Amino acid sequence: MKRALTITTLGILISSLFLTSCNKDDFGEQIISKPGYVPGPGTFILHEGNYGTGNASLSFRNNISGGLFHEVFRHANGRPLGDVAVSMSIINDTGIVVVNNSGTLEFVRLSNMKSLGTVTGLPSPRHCVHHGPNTYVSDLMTGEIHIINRRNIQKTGSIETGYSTESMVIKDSLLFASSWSSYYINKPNNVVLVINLNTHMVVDTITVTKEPNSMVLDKEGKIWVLSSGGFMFEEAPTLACIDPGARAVTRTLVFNQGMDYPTSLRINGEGDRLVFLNMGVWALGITDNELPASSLFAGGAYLYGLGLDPSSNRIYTGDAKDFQQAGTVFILNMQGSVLDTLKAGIAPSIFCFRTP
Amino acid sequence: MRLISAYLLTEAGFSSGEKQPSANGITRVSTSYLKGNHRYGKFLGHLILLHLSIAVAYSQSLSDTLRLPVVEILGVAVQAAPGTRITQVDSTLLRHYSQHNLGTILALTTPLAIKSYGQGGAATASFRGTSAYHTQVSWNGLNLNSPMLGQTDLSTIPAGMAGQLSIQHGSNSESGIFSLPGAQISLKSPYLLNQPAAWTLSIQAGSFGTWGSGTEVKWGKELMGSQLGIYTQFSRNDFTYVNNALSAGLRQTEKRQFAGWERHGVFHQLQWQAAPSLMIHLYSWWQRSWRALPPPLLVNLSERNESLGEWLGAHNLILKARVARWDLQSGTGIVYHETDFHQRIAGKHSLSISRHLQQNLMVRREVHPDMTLVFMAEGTADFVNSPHYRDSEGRTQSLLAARLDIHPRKWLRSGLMLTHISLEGENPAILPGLGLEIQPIAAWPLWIKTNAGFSTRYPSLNERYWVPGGNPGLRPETGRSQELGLLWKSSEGMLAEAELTAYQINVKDWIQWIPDGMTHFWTPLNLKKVNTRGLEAGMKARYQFGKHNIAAQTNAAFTHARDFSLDRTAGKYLVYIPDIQYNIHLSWSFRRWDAYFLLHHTGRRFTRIDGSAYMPSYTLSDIGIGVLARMKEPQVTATLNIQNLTDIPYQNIAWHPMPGRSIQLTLKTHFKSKKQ
Repeated sequence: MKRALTITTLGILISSLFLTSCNKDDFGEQIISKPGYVPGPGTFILHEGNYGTGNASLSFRNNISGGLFHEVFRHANGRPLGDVAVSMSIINDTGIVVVNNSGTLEFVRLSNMKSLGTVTGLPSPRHCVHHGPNTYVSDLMTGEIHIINRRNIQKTGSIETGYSTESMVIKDSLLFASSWSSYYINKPNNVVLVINLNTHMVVDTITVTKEPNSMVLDKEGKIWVLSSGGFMFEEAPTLACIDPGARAVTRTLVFNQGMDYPTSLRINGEGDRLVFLNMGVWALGITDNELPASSLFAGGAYLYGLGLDPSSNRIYTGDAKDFQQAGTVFILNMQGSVLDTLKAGIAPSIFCFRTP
Repeated sequence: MRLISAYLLTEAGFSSGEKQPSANGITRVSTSYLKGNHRYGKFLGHLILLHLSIAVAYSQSLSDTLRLPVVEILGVAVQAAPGTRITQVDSTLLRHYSQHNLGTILALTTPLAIKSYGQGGAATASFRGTSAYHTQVSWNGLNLNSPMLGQTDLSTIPAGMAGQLSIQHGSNSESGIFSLPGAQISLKSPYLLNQPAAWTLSIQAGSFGTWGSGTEVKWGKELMGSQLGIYTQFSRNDFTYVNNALSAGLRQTEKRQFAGWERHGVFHQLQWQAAPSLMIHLYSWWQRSWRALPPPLLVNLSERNESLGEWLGAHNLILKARVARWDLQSGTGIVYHETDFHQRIAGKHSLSISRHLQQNLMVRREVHPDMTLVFMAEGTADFVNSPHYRDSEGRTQSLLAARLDIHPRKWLRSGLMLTHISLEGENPAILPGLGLEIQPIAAWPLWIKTNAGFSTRYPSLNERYWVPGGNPGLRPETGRSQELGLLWKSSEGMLAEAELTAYQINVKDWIQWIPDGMTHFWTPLNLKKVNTRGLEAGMKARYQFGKHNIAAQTNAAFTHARDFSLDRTAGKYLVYIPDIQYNIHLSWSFRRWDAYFLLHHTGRRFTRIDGSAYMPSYTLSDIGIGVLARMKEPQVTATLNIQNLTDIPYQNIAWHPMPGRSIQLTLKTHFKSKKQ
């Protein structure tokens, strides 16, 4: 009896060792969505995800087939996109995704979403613009704009600005970069820097309202800057028009302080109509002298992302809801009517359009 | 073959007896104290014998003669309110894991789901699908939950602080002063009276640059005892791991950086039998801890350097008295907590200080041989200075509760409870509860238990006053729970205890932070409705042959937790709640040797509420062996523990690697006075 019990106990001990999971490949987070990606003209939906959880993702909606594919980067490359994806741009057949908290730039071939290379070690990249062989990447934490060579997908230099930088546009070899945040760098966050792309030097600063979060270039070559007025509503938000030649603000439209918090300024394909988010989707023409009286669309729980397809002038807006559940993308026409809705990932925030 | 199985029941913490420590940590209590002249000791002795005799009678047929066996007391059992369940962590495991934190030992040995960022990282508890806010951690009756967060970081509490560690399941606790829908994790210091003077010195060395040392002086006379301890622990925590954030073909082994931690503390306990019917306990604990906060794998590491330093000071004065037939207990305590967060890259740091004052009173009276009445009153005051609030904030709360335990028959035990909670500026909450235990067949030590009750959780100070976004208008969460179970508890046979419990908990107005479309700030709202249900099972068995002692303990939890506040098509899972979790613990002791084996399984956990991503299950195994050196004085024990024996890679939280196989060696030198 004693021997039987001893043997049984030892048997349990030994056999239970084999219960231990030993698969070295699947111990991390697994996604359930099925792989699938059909390239073509369509819309990339970039999901910011939650800070610190590594659940940023990329989806693609093919305009021809209508198919919606999720986690296209992860399925193609066998690894996650990263933590907090904030922007995406397309040059020819290459997509460039900026992943802020991972400090990376992901270059992907759009025909199959395979990675072409990754720039790593950037402190806090935010947005990028392209000029010649270079891609310029703004940074939240450091007073520099990173210079990336697209051919070898490496950082080759930086532009010392001394400011945190966010949104950027290029006009006539001048790079205009907004300084949105003063959290990491104790410098005023109410300026647009003017940088000479031939010398990579800051040549001027233009004062705007606090927290200039987004900028676009219109058909007349004017730069529109949308400022939220400060995280704690310190100033009245504004939509300002900058003459890049004069390097000065020529027109300002003022929002209601304490009530409005506009973000995500976008412009249509013709370059004459602006849209932005402010607890809804709003639109106005570049020649309008007043802010619109009412929104185009005020649906959803928390509209967090905005895009405007330049080829179709369709408006894409992402409802992040509570940032825990899958979001929803509303596709609108320029009158604000809902044309379609898509099931998205967590925090759909950026739309990047691949035109035919 | 001699069976060992008995439990010493403590009545409001009173107990007596000479304890003899042994190499395996099993405590034996002799009954010779009954011969002492102390009237109080004799009274307790009779009370203890009475309980033991009842235990024996369960497993025996009715007899005219009641035999009182000589028993070995293997631990101090915690008395549960009728119908409730208590899980007690084995003292062997407490000893072997003393250098770890509370989160680690709870994760490996209890049905609690611990969300852990790794050794040194934050660890919070989820019980039966509820959140960390719904579980209270108390140390000698003093609530340690932060008034700012409403929860306790279990990683900051050394497992060695607990002489006894138990989890009381559900809203109806032992004392009744507990109203949350989750669990109550209770740490209690050891009993000191009539202990020979002893000095213990311990040194630990472990993998990943982990070191620790501690010293403890303890003595106990018949009327007074004292314990003083100092400990220090620190670790580089630079374990190697497989970086699964890279593509499969490029994965490499890396070394964890910026993950070090340290803890230093001193604790003191004084027990004084001031009068035959008056016992005074004074507990004090100071701890300074610091840890780096490593980011997840997907984050650029070199530029992220966050750290958290904390000061904790806890003091509690407990008076226990017996006046006529009234048992009285008064507790006066304070917890001081300072948290200092640093973000190097931004040059930011924030210092928050909270103070928690607590006064409680419990009165127990046996109004009838079959009926005991307990009244409880508690008042608390919390004060917080934080740069994240507009001003210093505070609040007061009072609680009144009454419990009636009725035992009209040996086979029937019931309890009625009514709790009234009043928070400053809030409508009071009245929470009834009911528990019932029935032994259907006298010859079988099988009990049917059931319990139902209401619970509430008031918003934390962060939820109310955080700037920006805090919501002073939050309503309290309310919960309703019920459970039904079977308990087999026997003093004969190998199977000492087996329990199976089915439960259901409904919580509404569950607070969730969401972005406010009007202000763009994140703000907490009463949004969710959560339903959790499941099964819990546990078993304890012991066997002795010759000088070999073998014990087995297992517990398992199956949890089905869903959020019904959202559109079902959008999402419904509660994240990081394992669908199944179980532990198996086997221990063996022989003369100067003891060993254990621990198997722990954590089931699949969804990481997104729509179920589109999950963390796979994993199973860990630990072993340990200890030996008492062959010398009379001092007693020297050496213990070797190996965690994650099979060196499996796993993650508890996505993208936060956990260590592989690790080894700890502990040497303890114990000097004991021969005189008492």
